[in-house]
Amino acid sequence: MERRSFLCGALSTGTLAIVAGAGLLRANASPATDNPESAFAATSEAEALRALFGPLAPAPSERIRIEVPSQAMYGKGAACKVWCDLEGVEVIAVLTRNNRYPLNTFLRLSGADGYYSTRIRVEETSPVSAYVRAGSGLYFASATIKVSHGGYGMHPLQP
Amino acid sequence: MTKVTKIRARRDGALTEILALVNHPMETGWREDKVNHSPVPAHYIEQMTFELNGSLVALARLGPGIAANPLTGIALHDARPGDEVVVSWVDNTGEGDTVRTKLG
Repeated sequence: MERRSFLCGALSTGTLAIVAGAGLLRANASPATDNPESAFAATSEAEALRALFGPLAPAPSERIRIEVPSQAMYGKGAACKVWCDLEGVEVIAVLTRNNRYPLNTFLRLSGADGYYSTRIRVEETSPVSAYVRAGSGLYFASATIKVSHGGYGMHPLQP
Repeated sequence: MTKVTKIRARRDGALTEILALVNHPMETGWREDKVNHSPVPAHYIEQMTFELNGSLVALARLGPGIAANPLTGIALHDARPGDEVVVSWVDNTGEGDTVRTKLG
């Protein structure tokens, strides 16, 4: 039993090396932007970022601007606009750290400008961040939205 | 419930903003029907595509974290009057719509 698992392990590592060598695994191509289910199902911002962008470490950038209202009602839409003037922008992702599933949305660009306007749901007071993959780097900018719970017990989103 | 999709194009100097408004409940699947106490099934747009003159310029992935009746906007720097913009969306039930407009 032990010997078999050792051999299986060796074989899979060997296969991986061949595939990587053939250039089929490119550092910049993240499979999750084609199959983003795991990123949308991630329950932490770090997990969602790993699913979307792999091991890239995000760096803050002043060339990304994120505009959100300072306050929003629980469960209602909050307008979110992202501008970025980095070169080679490929993906703009919006994540709300304290949502149960932090990834709200992402935009994959193939000709359009570095701009994304959307309306996100925010569940509780949270930093909202725009993560941008441009060239071979990952950059971000954040803003905080304070969430108030509506009066009269009206909660459109139940936990 | 009919789903209405509207496109609006706004010029701002060299950039043209394409805004798409879709009448869609974006049901998260986490809500409970208050009358029957049964869960309201998830029903949300998953993907929207934007094309300029037949080629894909942007693809947006949406989900339950996006508000109802989503207003989604992108910007194009190389759009000219007479260009055709096509916006398409599809939701998790397979429902979808495609709307075209010619930029004025």
